[in-house]
Amino acid sequence: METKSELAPEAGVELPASTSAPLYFALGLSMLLASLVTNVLFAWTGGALAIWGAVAWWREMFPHEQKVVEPAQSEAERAPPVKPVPERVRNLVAGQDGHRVRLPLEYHPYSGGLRGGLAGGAAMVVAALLYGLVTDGSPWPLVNGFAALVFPLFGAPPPPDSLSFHPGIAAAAGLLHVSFSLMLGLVYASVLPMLPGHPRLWGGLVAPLAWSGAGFVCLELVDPGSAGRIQWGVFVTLQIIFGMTAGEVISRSRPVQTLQSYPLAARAGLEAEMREDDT
Amino acid sequence: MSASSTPGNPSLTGGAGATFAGSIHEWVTTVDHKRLGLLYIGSGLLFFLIGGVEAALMRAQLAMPGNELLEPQEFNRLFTMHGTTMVFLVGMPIITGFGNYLIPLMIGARDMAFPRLNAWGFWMFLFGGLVLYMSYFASMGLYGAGTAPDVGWFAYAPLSGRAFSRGNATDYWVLGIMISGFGSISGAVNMIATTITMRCRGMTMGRLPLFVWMMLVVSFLILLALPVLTAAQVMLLFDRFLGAHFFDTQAGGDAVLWQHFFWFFGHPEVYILMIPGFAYASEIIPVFSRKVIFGYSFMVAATIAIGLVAVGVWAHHMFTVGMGRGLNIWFAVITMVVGIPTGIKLFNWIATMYGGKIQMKTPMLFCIGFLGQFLVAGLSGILLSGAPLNWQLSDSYFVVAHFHFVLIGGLLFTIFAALYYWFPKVTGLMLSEKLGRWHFWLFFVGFHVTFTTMHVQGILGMPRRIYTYPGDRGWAIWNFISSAGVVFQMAGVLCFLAAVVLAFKRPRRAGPDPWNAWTLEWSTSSPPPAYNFLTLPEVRSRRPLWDLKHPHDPDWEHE
Ligand code: HEM
Ligand SMILES: [Cu+2]
Repeated sequence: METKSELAPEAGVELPASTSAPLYFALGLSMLLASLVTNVLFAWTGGALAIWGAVAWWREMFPHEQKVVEPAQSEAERAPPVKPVPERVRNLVAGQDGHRVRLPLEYHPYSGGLRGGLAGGAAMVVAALLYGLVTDGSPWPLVNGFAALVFPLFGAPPPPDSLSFHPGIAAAAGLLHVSFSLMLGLVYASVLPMLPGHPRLWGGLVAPLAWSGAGFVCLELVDPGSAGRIQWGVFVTLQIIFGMTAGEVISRSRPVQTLQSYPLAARAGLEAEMREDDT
Repeated sequence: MSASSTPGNPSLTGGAGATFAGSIHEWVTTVDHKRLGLLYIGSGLLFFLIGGVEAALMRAQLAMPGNELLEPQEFNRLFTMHGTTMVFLVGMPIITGFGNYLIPLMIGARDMAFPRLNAWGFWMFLFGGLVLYMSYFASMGLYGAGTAPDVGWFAYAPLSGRAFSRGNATDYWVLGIMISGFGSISGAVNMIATTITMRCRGMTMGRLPLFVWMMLVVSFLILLALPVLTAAQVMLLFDRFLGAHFFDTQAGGDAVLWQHFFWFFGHPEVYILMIPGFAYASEIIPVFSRKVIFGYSFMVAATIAIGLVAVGVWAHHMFTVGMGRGLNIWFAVITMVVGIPTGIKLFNWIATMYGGKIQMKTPMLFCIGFLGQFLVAGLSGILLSGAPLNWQLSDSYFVVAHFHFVLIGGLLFTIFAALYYWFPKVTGLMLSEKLGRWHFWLFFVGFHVTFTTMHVQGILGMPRRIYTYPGDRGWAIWNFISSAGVVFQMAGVLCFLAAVVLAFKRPRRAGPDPWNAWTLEWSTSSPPPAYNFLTLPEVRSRRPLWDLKHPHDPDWEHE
């Protein structure tokens, strides 16, 4: 829109003029295409109409765009200017009328989450190896069991037997285990500060129970019968060992303040003086 | 809408429109974005009535087991034409129409960037629709003359090939949709150009009404998705007319290729239809909660995220075709990811209502219905995205229930909300609240009677697209209930039509701003003059009218 061609408002406003060119162009093209299912007469008429429409359209724009001056509405027809309203505005204040004000003021650093995940994963491995030694006289059954459960998801064959040591399988299972543990550690670090009450309870007990239950249901849905192949007692115990260790390590990390506790100007990135007790 | 002549209404009648012929001439030659918007919405509503009759016929046929109201071939034509009509000739024009009408008004402009292209887009859409419906009279099919397309709205190969679809009914489907598709593409280009270049002073991207933001994302999706469909359709025409073998497996072609092309268009298309529904809700819910929208920037980000993810999930429509484990897992997971930005939006709408002074006017009723129904639709979608469960439920009535929950429970409910909300702006007249309420409740009840039950038929194993079924499968009672719901829905739509007629018969003036709203379209007269704004506005916040109404507490102090 060029502002220079604008008239004084009261004289009216310039608008593009009405034209039938687009209609003819569209009708022509449609008939041309429809001639495939009708007859050749459609093609000839359609082609002619399309050319006619295109030329007319071109001439709407060149050498000068066709415009009309739309007269301004009379004063009576116009919308009156928007006026201030008498009602007062009631602003929401955090905490008023029971509105929630709990915002996470601190969170655990990601490094804490990673460390917690590693520690939890290590504790789990130790417990799993010990369990194997005690019940089967070999440390490897749970490692092989883990591989048997997870490998098919990635299209790899499960281990041939459960008691002996398969270096390749142990390495791959270890890699998967470490990555799962790291991811869970990160989730813990970001979620734990948002939960009310004791982090050890949530991280150590509730979360492992919740995902064990969810895992059971999902397995039954995705691959009925497969849940029966898992020793759920052992599974849940190992998860709780992971949760307790990870939760403990994470809650020991030095928390970082969120921006929530900073003054508005600082959050907006403006330079601002901060009082001693703000930092 | 039938808003053809209102006294003292420059944008709707005007000088030469004094005679009937003169007024027709004005409408067909118009390049005004408001009139084109109305033409889009009006023709969309007409096609909606046609598509509705087709649906009602199918439900009548299915109400009883072993029914013989319709021939099997007629049934196939009906579900093909119903689906095609509702997506391409109802959903698309109505969302384009609202975009056309509102975007320039909301950004403080006098027209779209390309007014003549705008007119061309409308006519392409209309002629495309007419070509499709011409098939009922003119096409030749397997069963003789006058047989409409019967290959389903997604026209899978090889069914759509020469060998299985004799005659030219399928060509009518291809050509009609292709023609209207060109119109949609031009419309998208126009909306993008308008939003980028025509904003009034102070209307930065960060101050755009959410409606405009969402239509911008929709326009990009259209640009990405529709050309793919057009290309696939050209390939199909090559197969059918010139003996090419793109989709002909026996000659080295690939029938699954069609599915990939179709759904690469088709899944973005469902979001092209749904995001405008989000757009209406995002304007209406704040006004009737008397609160600013919660989390504006998150709404924008979530819309963009939905747009991005929506182009990566298409093959969740193809789990049963046997793509293999890796692809199944990928498409299942990425489909579930859509739930995250969508969930953010639902939370933000609810948070907008939370603590607000909610006014239960008709537009708000429809929006609240939308919130609950869209949640259910999203959840059934997530269920369907699990490949193993999908193998059980695909191609059953459960899928039919899922997508009608989205398209009716979600989109149509918000379209009704939008019609009640902006009707006063478009005509200067109020719609009856009482009839509006009747409309809402009848339609709400009818919708749930028909479509909530359909989940059950699906789980009981009833396949979609069957023209009848034996009485001993336990489906009969559910089907009867489903069909009964249609009566309520029709009664609801009649209330809407009655409300429109009544609005003109016994006019109640709306004034420029009947809802005490905040975006620019409410600052000009109702209906707006052809030039929208005599002097172009200048804004300082996302709610310019709020700033004027509350000079002591303007928004720009907080944004
Ligand atoms: C959370 C969001 C959604 C998810 C996870 C989802 C998932 C799915 C899945 C997996 C299917 C395939 C079912 C099958 O054929 O076996 C499907 C079908 C369908 N969905 Fe959705 N969907 C979602 C939202 C939507 C939206 C917003 C719309 C439209 C506005 C929509 C419209 C459709 C349609 C039309 C079909 C059926 C197409 C056909 O087979 O004819 N969906 N959906
Ligand atoms: Cu999809």
